[in-house]
Amino acid sequence: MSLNAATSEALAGDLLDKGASLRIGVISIDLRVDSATTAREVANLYAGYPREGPGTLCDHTFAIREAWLRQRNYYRGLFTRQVVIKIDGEQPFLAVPRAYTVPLVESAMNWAIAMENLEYLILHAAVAERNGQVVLMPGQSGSGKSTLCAALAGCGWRLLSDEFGLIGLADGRIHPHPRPISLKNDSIKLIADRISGAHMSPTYPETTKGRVAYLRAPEESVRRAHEPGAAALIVFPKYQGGADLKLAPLGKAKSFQLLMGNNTNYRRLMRRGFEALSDVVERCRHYEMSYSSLDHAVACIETLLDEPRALHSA
Amino acid sequence: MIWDAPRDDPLVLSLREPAFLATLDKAGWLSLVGRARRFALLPRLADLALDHGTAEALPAKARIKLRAARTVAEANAADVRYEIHCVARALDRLQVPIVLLKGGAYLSSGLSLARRRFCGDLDIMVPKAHLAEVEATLLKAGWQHAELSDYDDRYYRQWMHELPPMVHPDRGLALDLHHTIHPPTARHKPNTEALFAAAIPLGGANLTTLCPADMVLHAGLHLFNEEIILGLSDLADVHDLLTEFGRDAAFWDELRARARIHGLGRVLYYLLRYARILLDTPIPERALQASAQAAPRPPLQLLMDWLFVNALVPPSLERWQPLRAVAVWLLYVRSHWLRMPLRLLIPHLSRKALRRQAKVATPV
Amino acid sequence: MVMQCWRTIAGDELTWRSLEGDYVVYAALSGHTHVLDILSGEVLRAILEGQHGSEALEEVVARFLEVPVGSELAATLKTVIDRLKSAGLIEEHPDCR
Repeated sequence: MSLNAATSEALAGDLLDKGASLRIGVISIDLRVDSATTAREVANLYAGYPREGPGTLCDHTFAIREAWLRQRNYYRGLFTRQVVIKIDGEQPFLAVPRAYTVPLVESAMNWAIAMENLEYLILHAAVAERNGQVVLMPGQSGSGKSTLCAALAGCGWRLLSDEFGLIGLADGRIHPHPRPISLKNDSIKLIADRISGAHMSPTYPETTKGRVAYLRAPEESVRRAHEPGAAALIVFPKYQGGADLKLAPLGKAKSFQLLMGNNTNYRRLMRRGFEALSDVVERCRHYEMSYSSLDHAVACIETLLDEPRALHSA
Repeated sequence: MIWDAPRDDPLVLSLREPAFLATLDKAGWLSLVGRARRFALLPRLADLALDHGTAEALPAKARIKLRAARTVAEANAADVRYEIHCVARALDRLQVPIVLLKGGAYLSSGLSLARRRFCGDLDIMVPKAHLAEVEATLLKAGWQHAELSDYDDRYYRQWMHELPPMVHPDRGLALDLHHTIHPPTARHKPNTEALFAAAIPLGGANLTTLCPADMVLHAGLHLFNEEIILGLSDLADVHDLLTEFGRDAAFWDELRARARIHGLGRVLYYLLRYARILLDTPIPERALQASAQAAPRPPLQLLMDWLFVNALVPPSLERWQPLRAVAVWLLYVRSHWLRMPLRLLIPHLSRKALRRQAKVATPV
Repeated sequence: MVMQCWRTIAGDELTWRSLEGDYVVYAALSGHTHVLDILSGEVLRAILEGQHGSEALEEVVARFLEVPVGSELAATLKTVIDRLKSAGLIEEHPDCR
């Protein structure tokens, strides 16, 4: 299932026509868009992903359509063409300019999962895997986890997610949901320069978070999106411009506490959430890592995974 | 005959026959789940479907959605139980009977109904003479009043039967403090003293619930004289109460007697009639016949049937259904007419019409 | 010396795990999760296992810190008890024997 022009065209056609059901790891989305441009932009990022049959129920249904007069958000321009997104029949968001449809769809997916998914204990974390071991990098939006995750993906790591650590309540494993990696502001050029042949979306200049672009998930990550992994390492990354790399082991209880502030549904899952979080914390080694060089950060994490005893705290 | 279509509505049918869910295709599921979610029926569907023999036959993602609804209901129940615990503690030293109403009562009484609904706030009732004392004690214990406009604040205190909602900042669940179960300005005023006199103590603290018959009448009063918008969910609650309490043969006579005491014969007639018609609630014939004594005269009966046929079944989310919208609006006006004198009604309705719905901030 | 007794909140159900010695405790009634240092965890555990009185609890503290029972322990115990109380995990036991 390789990305080629034909696959992309076919997907674009379906997105515009009756809609397409994309299986993105353990989450499937029915998506329908209303313009050929949007269809091509989405297909550019999602061509090659497995598709569900037309009669298969998905986790969420999204439909993009032109905003009616009374739905328009006049703060975003008096005359721009705007769209709204229907999420499972509801419309929780204001309209956005048509050119920002892809960021809207990506935001909507994050929102729907964060609001509703109670099938997994969900951490705000980037997740990558190598040699059967999964690294979770928890952090809120803007913590640098996505950039780091993109760098790892560019070095051959399997991407499970750049946004959500999905912890199975029954099996304790980390389940994949490999979406395009969202990059912001300076990270966009940083990653584009770093990864040769990086397949990126256009840059969307004026989102509330600044400039945003999406890096297509590596083919192998998509191909193996049905494989969960065993959590081995939890590293809290912190980008600090100009600073040397600093790695410090973190106590498990402290990590537990930090993770309680970095999830979407721990409280609603009650005791099951407690048990799941305790299990994963117990199983993993925990660190805090501050860095400014992506090279150093990547090397550090690789060493942590491969030769844990080789590293001493800086 | 006018009831065939409503009875066959997929949502109504699912409530009566959970096995029906196994026959739905993708479009059917999307429509059903959307409506169930919007009209407070998802936890109920989850409870009925997941424990039914046909659960394995449902699409995987449907089971996931239902399981999520169940988890939300369980988390909500835990929150409500905790709020009840905190309220009981705060009011422990006062010698005041505290009557839990609706969701809080269903939970504390261990009714299976409690699993099937989401409880948005905790409703409690105390005698009017103690209202100020209870309010002051709660405020001292950390509860705060929700921020309201002066109009709304006055609306609550003066004209309705509850204080503006309170909330404890540590927890966030709204607490509604009542001194009766229906506004003092209403045309049908239940006998509040009788409500307290027949209240049933819950083990331990100063907490009580309404007696079973009063609980049913209160649910019916809310459904038929207050809000119809979640009518099917409320009717399903009534169905559950009648089914559970109705196992005791003496309950039906008690229900009739209490309806007479409270002057709620018409409400009793409606709740028995429509629960049976839509949900096949097991009701003894003699109870139905006895309640018919309070039925409206035939012309009005036809009108009410038409209104409730259209308003009890939740509308489609895709198609505009003007008849349903008209029926709901007429019942809405009726409910306000029943609750407020005319001189207050019109200014109130026009103020409510001016409120807008807030949307989530811009996503990108 | 005034004997005080403690118990977990009536109606509560506690689940705990030990993480490198520290305790994480889930309280079903409030839905809150608490991270407790090992001493607080040991005292809570003792209360759960039926040792309600301050005397018995002081002995627990003494054994854990490997020091003889003494007046300083009363202060240490009080700190722990206050912490557990403000976390909503324990309350005074009316029946002190």
